[in-house]
Amino acid sequence: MRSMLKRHRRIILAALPTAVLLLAAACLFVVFDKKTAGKQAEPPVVIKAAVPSFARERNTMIDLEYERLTQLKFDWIQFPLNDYMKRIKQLLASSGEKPDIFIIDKDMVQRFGPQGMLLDLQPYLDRMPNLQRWISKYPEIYRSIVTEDGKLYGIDGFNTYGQMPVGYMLRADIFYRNGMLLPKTFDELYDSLKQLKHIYPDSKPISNRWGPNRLLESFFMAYHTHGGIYFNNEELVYKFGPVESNYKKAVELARKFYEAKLIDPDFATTAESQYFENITSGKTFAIFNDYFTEMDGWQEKGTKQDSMFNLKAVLPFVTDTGLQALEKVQYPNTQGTWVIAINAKSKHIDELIRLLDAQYSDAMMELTNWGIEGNTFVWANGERTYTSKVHTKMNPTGTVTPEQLGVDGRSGIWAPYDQDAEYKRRWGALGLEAQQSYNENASRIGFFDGPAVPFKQDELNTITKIMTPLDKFITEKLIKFVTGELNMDSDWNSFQEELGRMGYQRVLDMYREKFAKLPEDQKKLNMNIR
Amino acid sequence: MQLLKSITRKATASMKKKTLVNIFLRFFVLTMLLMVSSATIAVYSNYRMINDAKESNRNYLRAVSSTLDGLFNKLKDKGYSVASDSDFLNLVAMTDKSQKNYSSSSYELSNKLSDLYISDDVVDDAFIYFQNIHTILAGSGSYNPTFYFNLHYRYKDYPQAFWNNALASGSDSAIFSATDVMTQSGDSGEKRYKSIVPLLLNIESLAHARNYMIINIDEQKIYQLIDEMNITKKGEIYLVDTHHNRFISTTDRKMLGERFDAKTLRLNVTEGKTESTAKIGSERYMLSFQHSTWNNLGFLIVTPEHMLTGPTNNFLYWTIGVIVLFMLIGTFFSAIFTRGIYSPLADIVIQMKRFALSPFEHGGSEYEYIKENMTSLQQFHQESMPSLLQILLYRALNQQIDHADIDRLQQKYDFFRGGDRLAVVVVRVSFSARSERSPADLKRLLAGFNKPVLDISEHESVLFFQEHHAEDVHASVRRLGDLSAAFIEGEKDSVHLAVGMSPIFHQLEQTSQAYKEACAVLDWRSVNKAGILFTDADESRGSRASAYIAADKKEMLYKYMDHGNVEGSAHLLEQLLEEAHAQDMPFKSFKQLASDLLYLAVEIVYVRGIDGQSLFGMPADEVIPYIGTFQDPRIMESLCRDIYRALSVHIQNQLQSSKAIHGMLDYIAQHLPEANLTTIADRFNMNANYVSQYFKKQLGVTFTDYINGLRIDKAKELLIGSALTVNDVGKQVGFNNANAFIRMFKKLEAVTPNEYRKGSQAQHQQGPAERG
Repeated sequence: MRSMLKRHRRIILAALPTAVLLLAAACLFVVFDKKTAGKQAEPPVVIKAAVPSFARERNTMIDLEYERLTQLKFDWIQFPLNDYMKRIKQLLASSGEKPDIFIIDKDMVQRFGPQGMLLDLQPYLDRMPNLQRWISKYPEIYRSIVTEDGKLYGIDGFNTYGQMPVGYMLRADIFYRNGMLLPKTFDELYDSLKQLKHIYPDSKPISNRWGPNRLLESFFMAYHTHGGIYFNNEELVYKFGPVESNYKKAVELARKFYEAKLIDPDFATTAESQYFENITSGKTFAIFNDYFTEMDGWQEKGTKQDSMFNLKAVLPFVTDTGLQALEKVQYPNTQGTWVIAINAKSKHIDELIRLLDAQYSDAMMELTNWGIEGNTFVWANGERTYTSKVHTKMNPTGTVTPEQLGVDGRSGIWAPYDQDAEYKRRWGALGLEAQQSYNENASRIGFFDGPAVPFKQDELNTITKIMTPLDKFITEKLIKFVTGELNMDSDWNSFQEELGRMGYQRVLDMYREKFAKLPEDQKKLNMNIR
Repeated sequence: MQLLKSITRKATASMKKKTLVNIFLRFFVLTMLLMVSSATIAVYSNYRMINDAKESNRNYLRAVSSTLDGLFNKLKDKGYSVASDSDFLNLVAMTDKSQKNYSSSSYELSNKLSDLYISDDVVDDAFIYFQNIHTILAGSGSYNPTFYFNLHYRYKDYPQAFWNNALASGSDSAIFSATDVMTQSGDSGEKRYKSIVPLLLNIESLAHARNYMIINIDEQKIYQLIDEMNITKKGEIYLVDTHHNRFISTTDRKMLGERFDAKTLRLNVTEGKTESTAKIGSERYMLSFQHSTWNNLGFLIVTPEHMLTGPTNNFLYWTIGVIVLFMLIGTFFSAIFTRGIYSPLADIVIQMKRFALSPFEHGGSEYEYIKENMTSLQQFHQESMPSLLQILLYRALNQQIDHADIDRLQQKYDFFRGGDRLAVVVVRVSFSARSERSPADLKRLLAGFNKPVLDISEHESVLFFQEHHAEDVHASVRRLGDLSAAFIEGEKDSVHLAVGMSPIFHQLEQTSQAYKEACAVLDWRSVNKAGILFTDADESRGSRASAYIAADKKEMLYKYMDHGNVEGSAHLLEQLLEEAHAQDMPFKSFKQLASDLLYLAVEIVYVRGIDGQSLFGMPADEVIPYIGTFQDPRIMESLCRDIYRALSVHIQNQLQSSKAIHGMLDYIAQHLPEANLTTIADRFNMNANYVSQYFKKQLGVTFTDYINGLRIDKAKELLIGSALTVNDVGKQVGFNNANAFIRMFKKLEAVTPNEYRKGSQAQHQQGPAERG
């Protein structure tokens, strides 16, 4: 028995290491299994990108193709277009995790760039041949964003021709139906709308979106002035609008319209959706300073509620002083107030540089604006055209919208925008016609931006420090002047005095000083229109 | 399995089984102990885990509660701060929008709302409904209420009327269950915008009209907030409306309604019972609840227990699995090692199994087995003693035994102690085919003699005599003689027995020498003596005359045979045998003579290619060994006579028949066209079939091949040497059918007759041309 026990002991002794060995192997297996599983699932680089949502999904065919071409995955942070800037500002100012790449406006570039939050692209330019090519093609883009000490904290993607995309529109049918001709001057407009208001008491003959300034700007431009510092087209000099006499005339004109209840009392606050509703439901008869691209959409929706609905673009009205109102001309450098910027602390700088450069390649521009040849577009008569399946304003029988396909120029991160594609995509017959008529008269009615003047950071800080409260002050006061809450005589004077106290002159001098330093060939208007 | 087999089988099946069961049981007990301890640890750790989870849920609740309460209170406070805002008061006081300060007030208030709420990440939008001026003023702008509630920002669950009524209920502030918000977007119509938890504030307590404020909290953001708290979560958190006993919001919205019904949760919060468990479906859930400072709000954490206990249970299952696996592996290896397990009893059984005749029965008793086999082994031992002696004798005969061996054997066994008068008797026997006796009969006879017997071969046995006195030896020999005589009685013609005895010797070592002498007695006995017992070595030794055939006689004999001289060869053979008898030739020499004679015959058989089998009834080369087995000269003589006669007659026939073939060939050559099997059979008085066989036998080719070859040769001559047509040539050489002729020609010559003729003509013409 003892020998048997001995044997047992030997067996156990032999079995024990085996067991331990196997246990170790099993553990190893489990660990290894997990490791390999982890390895297999190792994802490609994921880029956190903040973009406006544009009310579309980020999983369209083009988005997927975009990911494939860039060999990156994206974690999209999207905010609705109308409060995008507000949200991105919060995001960047907050302490949380920040996106790797994002769209911000030039003001924010000036604020965040020098703080070290945004990557200076200047040292990377030689690694971005496509972007260099783009810059040499549109030097304004570069000039408008580069700081005076040569730092490039962001870059624009816009490729818009100088054009006149905004203007005046009238509900022609309402005028005609009530026995009126379309007005040509502000006085005629005033009289007609007054009659109409009488006929349609609950109407809001002039409505507005995006705050009070947008509407009031129309009045300022009617008197060839501006709500702030602007480049006077006739004298080729920077000026400050609110202190000019024409400015006061403009406010008085607006006040006249408001007092006659022709301007919606909600003009300072009307939300965009409400504004659209006002137009399409027949509450609004005159549209100031708005985009022609919207015309066909409004027309379509309006016709559903009123079969006679007829929106017509008219050339700017003439004021009592004989000046014809101006409308803003938009350029690559001025329209593009939104730029792409890279988080300087991102872990994927190389990928982002590669991505940014790729966006300026012809292939990528074609992809984001036109899509895939044969699928979403074809070449015809030397230019690209969307295929018949793409629903555009000019091709309403198309089955899928550019947004659904991703060929709306919004894929990627603010990739260069091809105006030709935009025309083909979003512009209907009405809009195109309207823009055409404005472009033809651009030399007469165009309000051109002056050349971009570069400022240093401390100068920008000074400007912001002065202009931000000044703008707020002006807006608040303007509402009150327009609505009659403030007196045009006594209150106006104190308003002017306050403006002087707030130091606009210092800013204006800075602009003039910089302008004087510009090379002579840049001291002129860019009047190329297409 | 190979490993198993390679290990020597040492234990009996049942021993092994018992051991295996023992080992297995020990492993089993060990395993059970391990399992019990693992399970105990698992149960304990699960218990701790659940306790920890409860604790952490309490902390989680506290943290979430304070965060969210803080958030909601902050939002509420902000809302009420609006109530005292001058712009708000302005607007509340208005009855319509024609007041001059409407635009600026609404602008300011909208901006304030935007700053208050929209800049607050968790709020999607906040708006105030002004009934007096029929406007909704939101952070995002002003709206027509109908437009807002129906198109722009439609709550899925709450129409505008709902809010009016909610306010009528009197509470100042309330949080409502989460709902989806639908919005109109572009051409695509209505779509889901996001999920909202609405917070209603009754900020109007001053004026007459209904003015209320709704703060739309982004549900997703609430949970982002919770996520960012970095608290280890053990479950899903729910916001519960305690007044209506419904969920406000949950991290997993799909669970709402589908799996959870707030009413089924047995939480009686009013009694302060904040922890309980619920079984929903097959899952057990742990619930923890805490009241918010908001009177209708509570926070509930639902933790699926499997989430807590799962990992431990998993670990437990793994552990048990591994333990069981090791138990099996251990058992398996033990099973292998068990084969080496040793025990005295097993060893005896194992040893026993080596010798035992009967196999060990499965399930039988080892002791019984040993007892049985010991008995049978003893028996076997006794029975095998003679055999042992035989082996010893065999060794002695072959001189493979030395003194030391003998001493050892004499000590061990008693059969060498029977006396010092030793003798060896060699018995040689031969049986003819017609004998009724067999070698086995003789063996039986010798065995009955009760002396050690050794069978050297089928024809030779050796008896070993050991007596105390020489007389006894002689007596035994006499007795053997009697027995032998009785054995061959009546069988004298068919059984031939020769017995030779050695001189008596004294030392066992001399056995070999004695055996040789006993053999010599037999070998040198006279050829004239037959079937007689020799009792003494020298007594009957024959003359040592030459046993070999004289060369001239051999040659003569060969010649007679070769010419098929039957009488002559028989006569000569008789002469030789006579001579042997006359010389009194010793048996061994005579055997040599007979062998020589037979060898001569066999040689003739080989030389002439005669079929020995048919002649001798056995293959020729077996004849000589066969004759060597005979012990009687007379049988050898008659065998020689038979063989010589048969052989000489055969040769005579052969010589005669070979004359016939020449006749046939001559006939064929002269009568080529008409020669065939029938004509030849007729001509030579033979059966046609026999002619065919005969031809083949004599010439080695078939009749047809032979005659065809002859015909084609003749045809070739005619083709070259005459102007006859092919058809005629064919006829001349015996082909009645031209086609048959051409085919045969082509077959044998590979060309047609015409081609052959042309080819040879061309050669003839070319020849002279070259010379010229």
